[in-house]
Amino acid sequence: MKADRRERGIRLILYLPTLIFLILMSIFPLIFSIYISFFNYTLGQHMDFIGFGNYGSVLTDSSFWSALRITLEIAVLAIPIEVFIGILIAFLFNTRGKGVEVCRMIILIPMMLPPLVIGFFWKYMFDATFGIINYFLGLLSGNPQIISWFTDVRLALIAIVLVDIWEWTPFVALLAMAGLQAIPPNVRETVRLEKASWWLRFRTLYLPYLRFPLLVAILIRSIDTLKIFDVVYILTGGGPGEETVTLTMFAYRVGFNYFYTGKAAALSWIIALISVGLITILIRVLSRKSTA
Amino acid sequence: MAEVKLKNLTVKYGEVVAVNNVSLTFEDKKFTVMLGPSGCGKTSTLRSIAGLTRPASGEIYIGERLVNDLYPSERNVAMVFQSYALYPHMNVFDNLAFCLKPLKLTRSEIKEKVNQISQTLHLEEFLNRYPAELSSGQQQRVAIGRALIRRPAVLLLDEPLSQLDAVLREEMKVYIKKLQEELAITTIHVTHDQTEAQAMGDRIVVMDLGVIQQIGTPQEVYNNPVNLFVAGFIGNPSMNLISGELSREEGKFFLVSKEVKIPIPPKLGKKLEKGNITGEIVLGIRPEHIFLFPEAIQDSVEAEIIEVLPQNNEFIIDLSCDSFSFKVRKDKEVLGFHPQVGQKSWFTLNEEKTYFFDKETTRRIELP
Amino acid sequence: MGKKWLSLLLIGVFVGASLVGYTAISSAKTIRILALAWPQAKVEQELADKYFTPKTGIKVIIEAQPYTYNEQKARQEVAAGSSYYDIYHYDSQWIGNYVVSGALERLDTKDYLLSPDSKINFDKDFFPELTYRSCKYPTIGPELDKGNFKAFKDTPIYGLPWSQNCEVLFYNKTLFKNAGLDPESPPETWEQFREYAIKLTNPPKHYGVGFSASPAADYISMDFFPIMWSWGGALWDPYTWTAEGYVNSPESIAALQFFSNLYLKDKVCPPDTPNWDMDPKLSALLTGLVAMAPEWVPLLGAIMDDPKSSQYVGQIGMALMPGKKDPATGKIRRFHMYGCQGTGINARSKHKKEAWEYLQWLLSYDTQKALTDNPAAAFVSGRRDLRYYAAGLNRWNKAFIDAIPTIRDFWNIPPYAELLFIQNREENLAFIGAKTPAEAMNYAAKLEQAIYDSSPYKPKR
Repeated sequence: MKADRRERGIRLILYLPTLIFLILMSIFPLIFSIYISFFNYTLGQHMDFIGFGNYGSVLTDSSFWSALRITLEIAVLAIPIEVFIGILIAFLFNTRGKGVEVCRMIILIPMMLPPLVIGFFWKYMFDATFGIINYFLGLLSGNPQIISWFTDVRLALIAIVLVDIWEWTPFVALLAMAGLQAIPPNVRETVRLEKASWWLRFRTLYLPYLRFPLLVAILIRSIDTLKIFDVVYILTGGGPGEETVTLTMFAYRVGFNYFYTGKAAALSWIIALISVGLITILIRVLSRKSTA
Repeated sequence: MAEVKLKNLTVKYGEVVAVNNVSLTFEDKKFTVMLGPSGCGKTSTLRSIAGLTRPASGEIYIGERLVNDLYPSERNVAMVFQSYALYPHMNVFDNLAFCLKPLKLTRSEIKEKVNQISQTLHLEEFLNRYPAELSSGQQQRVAIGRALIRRPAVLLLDEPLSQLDAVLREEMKVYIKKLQEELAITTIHVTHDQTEAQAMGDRIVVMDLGVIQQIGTPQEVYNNPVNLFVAGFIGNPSMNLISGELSREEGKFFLVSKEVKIPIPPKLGKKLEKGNITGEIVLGIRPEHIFLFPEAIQDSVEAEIIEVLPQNNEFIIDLSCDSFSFKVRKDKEVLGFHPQVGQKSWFTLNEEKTYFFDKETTRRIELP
Repeated sequence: MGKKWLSLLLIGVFVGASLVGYTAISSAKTIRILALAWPQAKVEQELADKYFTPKTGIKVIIEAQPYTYNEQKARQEVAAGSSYYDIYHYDSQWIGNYVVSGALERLDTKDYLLSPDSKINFDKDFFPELTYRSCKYPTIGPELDKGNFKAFKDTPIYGLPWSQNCEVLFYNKTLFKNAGLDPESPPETWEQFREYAIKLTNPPKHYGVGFSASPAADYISMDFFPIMWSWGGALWDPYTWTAEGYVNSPESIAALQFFSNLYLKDKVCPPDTPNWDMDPKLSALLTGLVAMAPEWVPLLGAIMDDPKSSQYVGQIGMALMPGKKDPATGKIRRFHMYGCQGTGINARSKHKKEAWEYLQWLLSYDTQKALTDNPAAAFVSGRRDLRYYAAGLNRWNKAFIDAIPTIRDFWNIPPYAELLFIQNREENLAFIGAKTPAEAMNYAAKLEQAIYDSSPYKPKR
């Protein structure tokens, strides 16, 4: 009995640092951010209780809706292409042979680079006058191209989507490869003996194995895209106008440029609710497909 | 339906030669068993026919067609794997119907074909189940059904029975054989199990080290093994082999080895003399071809029983003669006495069934 | 057992020593400065270690933070009521927020400037054009722009001038010569500016003008506002906090039309200009990609004749910003974008005395001269008595002193950041042609007016 109690005491002491850390660094700020979202509070200035005023202020802010639209546009444009190319790459590298291992490693490099680095070198590549992309477009079209990628409302978004695809397709490919590896070799050989078309094989045999890894990939990519920040921040800085300001960039601006702490807290919770909502819908839709 | 012809087939994995210059014809509508220990090249041969492995050299014909450069799917062959390889995400019906889909059949045609094959294979009750919900015997039948439903020119079986329990295996042996006869499909069956080979094969191809050792009916292979490998590999328990020197004393022939001196039956001795065979030689005799007596008779050799393994209707007896030990297999009724460990007994060789092999070439020596 | 005690003992000794060390540091006379990471901060630290600390025994720790993080850091410190820093550096537009947050100590009191011992005479020592904008609050307005400094005589003082800066026109003499222009007569008016720019443009190697036209930070506005002001446009009425009719006045809109035409119609700016912040503009000037651009005086001035950074050593000229002829007087009306930083004492500091002593030393003639003398500091002083010396010292000091009378600034009221962002965004959209100048400025007026109206600091009528 006595030893039991002592052990419990020791256990508690061992838990304590983690517990304190969690309470201080996660649970308290979380609750406090809800509290503060009900106040008109500019950092360092006095606080006025305004109920849901901050939430109203966010939802009537045209910049918020623009940021939400832009974030969703990036997700809707980038993720399907990432999944499509990811699957292609997975099939391409799912064979054995000399150099395949090396190629697999090379393919994964974009994913391992810090987003900051990616942002900077793509910024140079997209440069209108001396960027390599315009240079190649010039070679392809036969006359020099001066396309100003980041100063056109549509092109800026497309440039961001392209970089996102470049950065994150390897991640999808990695998960898809893992899915393909799970197919028993004999099953794959049996299919090779069948006359089935490529599409039939893909749909009935490969897709069931890819379904779960792709579900995971789409989910993670969706969550990631909802909080996309660094690459966009460096590539376009949100411009032109605010045509590439994403949700997190908008939240950053409200919180750390305007210092509207109360509104930023409300905004963060709205973003969190949107994310949870979208992800829940996504899980429903995708998992329904996989059981049908 | 078609015959399968191999011409100088060689399969290599890096530096390792798995199949070495094999030429062979699998006869049309016949059940051929490829038999050999693991690593002998039988599976590589099979995979080359299917197109799953690319041969280093040689030609493969199915019917009149050279198929070397054809995709597996263009060869009209079906294969059943040891692991069954059913499509796990499809139910039995869809597994069976999968290969019919590209054929642009109507729904009712597909249904009819599936029903037909499932009747043959007694799978009607399981059509809606998924592979994971089936026993291994049922999975096996689905795998065979899936291979047969599209009427392939050649059916390839890669150790399909090895994962079944003994009772099921016996059942399936008979079943597959019967099915093959009914459907008259050229079938190549790879196994390392010689009882399977004996029971099922119209012909047996014995392979070792990538080379064909012997081709023949089960009886031929059993009765006339062409070399020491086939002699030792076929038969259970395997043939007793004694290596020694032929000698002649007072008109009688003996095989003298380090361990023992065994008299050779006179008729055989005569043949040996006629064939002018002398010197170092290997004598082979199957356990079932040794006569055993509770007391000494003419030209018998004394031995001690050191182990008795009673079977249903026979004994497998380990005997020791000086330092040489060998096996005898006898019907309980034929034997006429109850062998006991430590008991002395006497044996002679069945002169009709005693083989001699060249020690150098390992080939069997044909006696006149 | 022995080991356990030994490790406990070691931990005890370590903790004890740290505590003793900490108290030793904090009990010594040390002042801590949250500084901006301008080149002068490093030189200032050296000078303080060399002269100030030996003389007074007060140790000085200057913590330089990059621009945006400085504001974030300072405002978090202020919100937390921290006394960690004794002195804050601040950019001119931050002062409103700092004052309403109670961050800065008022200096026009008996403890400081009004003390008989004060070594600083605020009005006499410094250019009021500079200090009235960044050290007094609230001050912005037409009276200040007219030079009527007496109107702000009693306005509270919260800081002293730390770093002085404005944008002037930099131009490339070599490229001028190549285009057949006189390298010694830079454009006087915006019309000339445009005319020259067209002559200087030869894509893709050379363009006439570069602007930092990105919508981020204050980039596009700092290049546009001098144009807007010289057209007779304005951001707002600072007395009534009115945007309508000011930011979208016909003059403001015409100025924006001129500004965007340079990019859209005349195509005298590099195609990436609407995404440019400070760095691309600076390097475009140094490499000759652009022949003219408004640029911060010491930022480029300090490096333009350094062969390591410049391809046109001795060939980069400086001039007052072009202007527009005032139809009434016939005089050229020109303006320069203000960019000064102040330094003030943390109202919660525990070492206010030492901090005041330091500020007096820093703003003294000798220290300011030492900073001016050191090219590594890229420093321009706000002291009046240094102007002739500095103007004789180098070209860029002179350019700055010439520009002082026509310097103007934008908002420094608390919601400046949101106003600035709206302004930037709309200017940028007009610049790239996504909106007409009238659309952009009308929309900006509407949004900015809403911000004025909802601000608790809007003056009551």
